[in-house]
Amino acid sequence: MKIIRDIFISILFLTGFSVKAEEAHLYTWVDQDDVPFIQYYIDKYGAEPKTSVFEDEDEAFAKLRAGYSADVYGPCSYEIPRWRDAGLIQPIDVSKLEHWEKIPDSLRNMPGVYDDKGQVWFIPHLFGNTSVIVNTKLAPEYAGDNNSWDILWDPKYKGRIGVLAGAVDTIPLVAAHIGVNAYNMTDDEWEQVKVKLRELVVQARLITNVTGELESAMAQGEVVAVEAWNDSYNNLIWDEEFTDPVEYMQPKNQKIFSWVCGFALSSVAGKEAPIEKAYALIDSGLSVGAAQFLIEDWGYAPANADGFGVASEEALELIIVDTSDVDAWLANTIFQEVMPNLDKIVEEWELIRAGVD
Amino acid sequence: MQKTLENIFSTSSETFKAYRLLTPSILLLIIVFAFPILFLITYSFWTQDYVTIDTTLTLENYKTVINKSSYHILIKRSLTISSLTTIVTVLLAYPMAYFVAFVVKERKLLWLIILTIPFWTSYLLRVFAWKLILGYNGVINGSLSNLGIIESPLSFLLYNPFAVFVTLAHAWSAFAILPIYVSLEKIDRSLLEAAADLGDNAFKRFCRITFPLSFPGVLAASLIIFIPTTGDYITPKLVGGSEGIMVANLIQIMFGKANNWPLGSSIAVITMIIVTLSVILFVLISRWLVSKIK
Repeated sequence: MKIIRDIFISILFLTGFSVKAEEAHLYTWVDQDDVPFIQYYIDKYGAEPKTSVFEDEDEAFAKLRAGYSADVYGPCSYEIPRWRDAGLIQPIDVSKLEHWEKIPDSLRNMPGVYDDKGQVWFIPHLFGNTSVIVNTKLAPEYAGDNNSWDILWDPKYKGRIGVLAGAVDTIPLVAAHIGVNAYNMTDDEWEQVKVKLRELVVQARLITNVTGELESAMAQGEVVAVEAWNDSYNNLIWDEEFTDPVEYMQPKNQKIFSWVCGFALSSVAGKEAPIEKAYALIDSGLSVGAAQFLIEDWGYAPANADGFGVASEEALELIIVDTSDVDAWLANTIFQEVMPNLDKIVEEWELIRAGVD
Repeated sequence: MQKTLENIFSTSSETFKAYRLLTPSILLLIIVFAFPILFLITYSFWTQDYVTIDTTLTLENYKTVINKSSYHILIKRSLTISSLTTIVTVLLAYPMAYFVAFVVKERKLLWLIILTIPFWTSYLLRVFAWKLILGYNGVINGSLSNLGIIESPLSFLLYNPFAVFVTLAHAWSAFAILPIYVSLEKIDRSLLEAAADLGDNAFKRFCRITFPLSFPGVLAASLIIFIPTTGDYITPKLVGGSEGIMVANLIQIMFGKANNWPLGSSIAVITMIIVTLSVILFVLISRWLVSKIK
């Protein structure tokens, strides 16, 4: 009998816990649950929201489809169509967001935010770029105005370049380099891109999603150039032991890519915690404090343009973005979108990566 | 019939006792092993288009796998790497196990504990350790360039099948040592004495007594290493580079990035079948070989 009583008490205890937890739940990228991103929520409700993290969106997507859920998710814009079609998210009422108006027009109107019916599905939170970082001490011929993505295929640097493993990053970049628009390509064009990808795999020393690996390979001189996001550039500049000059390529006749990550509202938001709390969670990420933290600690640009006004000059110089006119600057880059037929492309890219296609 | 059932269910029956004792493990096996496998097999007969799963039963996925040579290459590569790993690990483990079983007279337990020291850290850490050893500025390259043997770091150490093979061989060594040790330890020493009395030299004694009697251990060790290493994915992912990617990486991609669970399931099922067949073949061949030795 004593055992039954104990079990009963522990059940009460456990359920008591879950009843008490009426805070909204954020499921986002690793580290995007750092305190500055949820401070606004804590100030407003006097309690911390629940958080959990994913390594990448594919992991998150698989987990959510298997039944996991939260109130607010933190995917990047190109994921939105798939998540919407799988019924994982719901439209967002932007009038409930305090910081919506602070987001520049170009971000509010980017692909993925609105659907055909004018409903909002995605709130931009931060953005950055995808291009190539080059060590100009080891490859001086690519310095300054001579910078070009050609370095990735330069036979001279065979086995000394690094590439991002993500299809959403690498395939549009390789396609753009040979003048193909990956977001609208014919089968013939895809075949041409595949030829370039195969060459790239042979050239590459490492192909990884772990940006730290690319950075340390750069820092050790193992590679001379890597395809990377702009935060890797910041990390290399900040690295005190690494003194070689590096540049983040912005080739003359080639637009570089911009990715935008943000928030989506779960289709089950409002069921466990009040929906206002879910909106407050989105507002937390968009707060000026979070924006400043993004610029100064992460080297990413915040969607809340007020952040540029409070961040240090030094940090602003490193984030690549021209903060005097964000709209104009973004217009000169290509937003990373979802490629039609992505699943097929991903599979073929993985086989090319394994050297068997 | 009635009689047999009564026998089984009477509480004193040995069979009933055995099943009663086994119940927890059987239940656990059904829940965490049989169900997922059934699930996987079912999935392999479905198809997926974007976010919808079509539950009409079809052989489409199997046809895709059978007709696509890229998959065959990956499966072959996995089998080659894991076979090599198995052979080398067992060859390296055997003398160590032999040493502990026959040469060490005192504190055997201490020796066994020492042999398992690499296992006190996680698998992932052991893989990372190899990354540091084989890396561009790693232990090997660092030492060689300090000794003035090489001018620039050797890049062929890491990110290839060789690195996968070395890492796996080290990571699984204790799994080989322990079963071989147990089978060697059990060997009746008087058999060896008798053979010596009858004029067999050390080599003959090993071939005709020690090795055949320790064979179950070798077999167990080989299977314990071969089966999991064929499906390993974290080692190829971390140290494999492009040429070292194995079939498990492809399966993982299918369940993640490529978003095609049914195709992933059928690749997994086919891999399981191939591994099972290889194991059966291996067991048959090695039994035949041992009977020849005897």
